[in-house]
Amino acid sequence: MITTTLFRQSILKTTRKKGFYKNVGVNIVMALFALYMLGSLLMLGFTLGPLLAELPVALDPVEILNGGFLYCILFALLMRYFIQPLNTVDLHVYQTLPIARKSLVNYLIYKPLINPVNYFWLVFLLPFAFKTVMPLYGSLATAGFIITGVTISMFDLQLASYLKRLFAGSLLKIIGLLVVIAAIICLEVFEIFSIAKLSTNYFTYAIQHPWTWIVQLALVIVPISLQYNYFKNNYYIDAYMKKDVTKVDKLQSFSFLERFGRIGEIVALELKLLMRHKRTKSLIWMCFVYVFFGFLFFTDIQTDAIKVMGAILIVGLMALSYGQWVFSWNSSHFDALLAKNITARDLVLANYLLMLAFTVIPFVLSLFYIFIFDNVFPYLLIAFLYTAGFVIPLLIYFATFNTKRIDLNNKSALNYQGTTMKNFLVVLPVMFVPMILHPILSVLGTGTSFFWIVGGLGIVGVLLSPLFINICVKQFNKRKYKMADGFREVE
Amino acid sequence: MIQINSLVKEYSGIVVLNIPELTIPQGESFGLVGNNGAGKTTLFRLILDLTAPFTGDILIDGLTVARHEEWKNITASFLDESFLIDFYTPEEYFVFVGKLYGRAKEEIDEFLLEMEELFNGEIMGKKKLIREYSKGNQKKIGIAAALLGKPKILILDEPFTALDPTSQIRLKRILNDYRKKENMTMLISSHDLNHITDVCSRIVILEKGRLVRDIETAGDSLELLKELESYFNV
Repeated sequence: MITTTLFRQSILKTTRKKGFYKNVGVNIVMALFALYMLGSLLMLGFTLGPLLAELPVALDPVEILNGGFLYCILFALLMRYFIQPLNTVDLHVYQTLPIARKSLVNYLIYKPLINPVNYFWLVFLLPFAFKTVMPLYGSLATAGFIITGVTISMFDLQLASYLKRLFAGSLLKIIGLLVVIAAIICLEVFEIFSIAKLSTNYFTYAIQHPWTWIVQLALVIVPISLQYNYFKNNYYIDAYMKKDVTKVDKLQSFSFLERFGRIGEIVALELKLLMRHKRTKSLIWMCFVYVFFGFLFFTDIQTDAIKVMGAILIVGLMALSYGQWVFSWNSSHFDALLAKNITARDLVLANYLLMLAFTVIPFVLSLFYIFIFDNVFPYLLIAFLYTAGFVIPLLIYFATFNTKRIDLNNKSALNYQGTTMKNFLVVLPVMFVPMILHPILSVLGTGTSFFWIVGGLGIVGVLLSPLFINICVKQFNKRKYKMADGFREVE
Repeated sequence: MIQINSLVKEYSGIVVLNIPELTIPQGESFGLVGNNGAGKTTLFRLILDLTAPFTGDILIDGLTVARHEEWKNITASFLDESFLIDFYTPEEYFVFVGKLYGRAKEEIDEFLLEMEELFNGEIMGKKKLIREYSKGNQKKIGIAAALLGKPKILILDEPFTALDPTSQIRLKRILNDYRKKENMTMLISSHDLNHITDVCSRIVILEKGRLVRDIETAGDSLELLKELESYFNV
């Protein structure tokens, strides 16, 4: 009874959320994409059997696929861990109501099991079962194959939920998990122990012997009972509310920015914001990782167009990942920025300069590639000019359309709140324009004309930046009420 | 001086605020009372250009707030926690706000010493971020930061709620002193009729977005209180 009420309320929570109907367009695009994925999986289910049969190995298609099952379990576990949202209730709302603790816990644990989305890989497994397993192993094994598929989903689902609750977004523990999985893969690669062989032997036996199905189902109970145990110890809300007391002495103050007046204060504000929240801090460190993309993109085997894209990613990703939400980062104190003695121009200019710095830093860092690969400097230079001249103002302009609140005090290390497809749809084309221009311009002119034209455009963009900033200020003033309204909406 | 002309605010077709005309002269202590949903916070947000009016406009010293930014220089406010920067320490926040309003470091330090009475030793030097303070102490930080700007116009939404009785009394004293010293216009909303009559000489009652009563007495707070109580005692 109470479980169905909770279930209904969770649906209401989604459909009554502000912006649920506003994003219909985006939702339709996502739905089409999901349909395409499901269609592809379905096709794969029908065609994979015959394809595997042609492989020059001694195993039959079912054995080959079974060999992948243990890896599927690991891979799906990771995917679920990172992508699947945890099933939660606003515990403090229900805790004081006369609802048995057990019902709440049951709801938290079992709800994902009835969500059909969690069994999507059956779209692939079912056709494979009937087309390939049936003729080779008969109908009992076909049933076993399907049951195994379902059990694997359930097991992963529950284990991912348990690990997610246990790790509570701690980055270190996630890395630990990744290391364990990497170690397992290493065992295979260095031929110390073959998981694939084990997987083949076990699952090929298992699908034909019903007693193993029961054992597998029993294994699903392990993560479930672990979760029961977890909730026994972590039921009360204050355990979650425990705040990490920040060590203030260790915080950076960026006091060198003070002498740049109001603009400097705002830049310092944004930098402190970035460095004092988990989510934004990891965003900054990621950007140093991006610099190493060069070893992938600048090697001699890559085409010139790929090198252009690589250079733009290296130089531009830092500005991009900050700039998409340049105003949303300030959600929790946006009213302060509007009502205190800060003009719209101060705000836009400060963020423009900060993003410029975020372009200069990876550009300078990536200059070492000059000593490693031939002829890489022109790519980096035009990527820098293009990002500085066009991408930054465009990012600021389009950031005004993001009205979803980002709550940086949300503790998860993988908090993607505020993310909408809109951003990517708008921003990605901008990043890829030079890559598309490259082949066109190389056909029309000589090999170097591309660099002159895009580089020249970039310089023009930089020179026009006062104009672009004016446009952004106007746009900001037009959109600020919408942003302020949206940012006030606490989810 | 604040001037409001034919101001209407609608939320999805429902009028939440409708003020044909209202003038608040420089140096006035203006109190805003009204039951929940009367439009007090909305009016403050409109004055601070945090939300756009449906029709009409608001002028501060003759300039529309929506199209000019000069008013920001002379206006300070604290409506809710979104006026704080919660990952700053109070010290950092005061310096940040002080700098925005052109205060020198020494002036800020001097001001914070004056505020120590209100802070009651619970704010400064705690080595904590603002988000780790209690609601009441956050409110003190926000109000003090607003006063730090030496504003000609001060706007506070429910400044007395969440404060302990001692702090409420001290805050009233501080507000009265500052208003007299700087000839500051003060706009305060409150549910507490006792407090608001202590700090405001003019009180406007809002009801469902309309201005229903505009009471002014030359400093006689008891008479004011009596009139307010008779209004709300339905």
